[in-house]
Amino acid sequence: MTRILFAVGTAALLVATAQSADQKYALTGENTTITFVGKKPDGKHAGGFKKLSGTATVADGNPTTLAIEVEIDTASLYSDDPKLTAHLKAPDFFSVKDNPKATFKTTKVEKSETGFTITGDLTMLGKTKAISFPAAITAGDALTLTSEFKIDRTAWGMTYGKGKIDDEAALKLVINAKK
Amino acid sequence: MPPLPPAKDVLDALHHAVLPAAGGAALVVCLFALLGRRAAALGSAVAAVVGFGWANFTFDAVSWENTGRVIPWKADGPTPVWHWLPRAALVLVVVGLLSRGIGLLATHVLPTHRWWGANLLVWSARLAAVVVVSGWLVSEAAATESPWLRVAFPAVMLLSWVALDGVARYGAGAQVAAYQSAIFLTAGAILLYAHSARFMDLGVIVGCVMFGVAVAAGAAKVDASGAVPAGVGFLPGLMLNGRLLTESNVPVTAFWLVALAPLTLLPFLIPAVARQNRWLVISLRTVLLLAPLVVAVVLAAGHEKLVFEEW
Repeated sequence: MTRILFAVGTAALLVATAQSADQKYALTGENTTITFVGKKPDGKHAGGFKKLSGTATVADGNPTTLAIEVEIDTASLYSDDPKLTAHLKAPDFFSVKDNPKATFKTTKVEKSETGFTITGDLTMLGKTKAISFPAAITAGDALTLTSEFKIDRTAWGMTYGKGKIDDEAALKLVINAKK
Repeated sequence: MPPLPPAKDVLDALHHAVLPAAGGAALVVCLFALLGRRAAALGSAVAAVVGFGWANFTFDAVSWENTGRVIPWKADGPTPVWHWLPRAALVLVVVGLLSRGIGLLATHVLPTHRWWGANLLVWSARLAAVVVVSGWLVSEAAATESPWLRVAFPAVMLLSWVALDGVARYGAGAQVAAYQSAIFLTAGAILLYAHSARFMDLGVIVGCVMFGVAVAAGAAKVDASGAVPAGVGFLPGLMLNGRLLTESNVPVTAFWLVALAPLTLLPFLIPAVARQNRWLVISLRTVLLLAPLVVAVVLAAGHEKLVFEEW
């Protein structure tokens, strides 16, 4: 009888632990897309990054516990024009050979009226700046996150074309990662 | 024939880079020329520093923190190798002046048949500076991938210095500044073909500085050899980093041709050549120097389009 009680107790403990454990999702270029749009007075161009790696963890399915750490391979940058891609990889913009990685790490996720607000540190060109952006997040068997926001590229020293190309670049982040 | 850049870009560059660089340098040369011919070499050195500093300050008028300027005294996190270019130029200019002073002092102390000792002192100091500075301009990644760069880069710097300084000391200081101007402006064109406007800006700024020195020194008929060291490390450093950090179809030969262009002046250090008819020597020098530059531009234009043609 004691053995049965012990086994049931252990099983119950394991189930409870599993339910409250962090859920971890692997982030890759396949399940996570980061795209951007840069504008200038007479047009705009779109691009993004094909390769990235990282993890997202959520405790108890609660999006405010979301923690993301992602490393973006800047050399995987692409755009809608091959010559523009080469220019964006040069020191005028991302200087990908000097700075092969860009990173993002969340520091805080808060509930907002329309969804959630993610705050984190974005490191590009060797500079780390805090950014905040709105996001729609669901966490369960799969983590889904969609967000559209703008950043001021000059804050990271990306000042080429100031006055001719908009300082603000629009970013779109979409995550659809399974456990 | 590639299309001309947009008029607004040209006016911006004129206003913020060309005028401060060339005008600032020319103004300083003229001011020092007023102090006498002996001050001219020092004046051309100061002109190179002032011209670059002025253009560097005005060209990208944004906040100090987010500046696109190359600030030689500001380190913010891991500094890219090419940010060391102005520091390298400054050190070489200072060493150039100091070693020249030491050499002059030595000639006063040593008997005439021992003047080779003065030369040895001068070039030992310059060799040491070249070795130190070349370490700043060749990134660890580049040196690991191509170990020969550790030797070839300082060798090119030293030989360039010997060639440019030697010709300038034959009384052709203003001409040498004009040659350096042509080389740097060509470097700017090659780097624009390689899709880096920022590196092109650096080439254009130094080219304009040298143009200002050449015009003012030529008009005042004064020595401009003090400005020579400013380009000795800057040119190969700019072309090496321009090649390594950009992606384009510009052949590597185009970068080499520009980086090594000063070496075409080496034959003119041979006394028998230098003593030929003055105009013949000037013509030969100019043709020999311009030939690789023209080939480099033709190569770049044949393989790549300028950025403003694309988007």
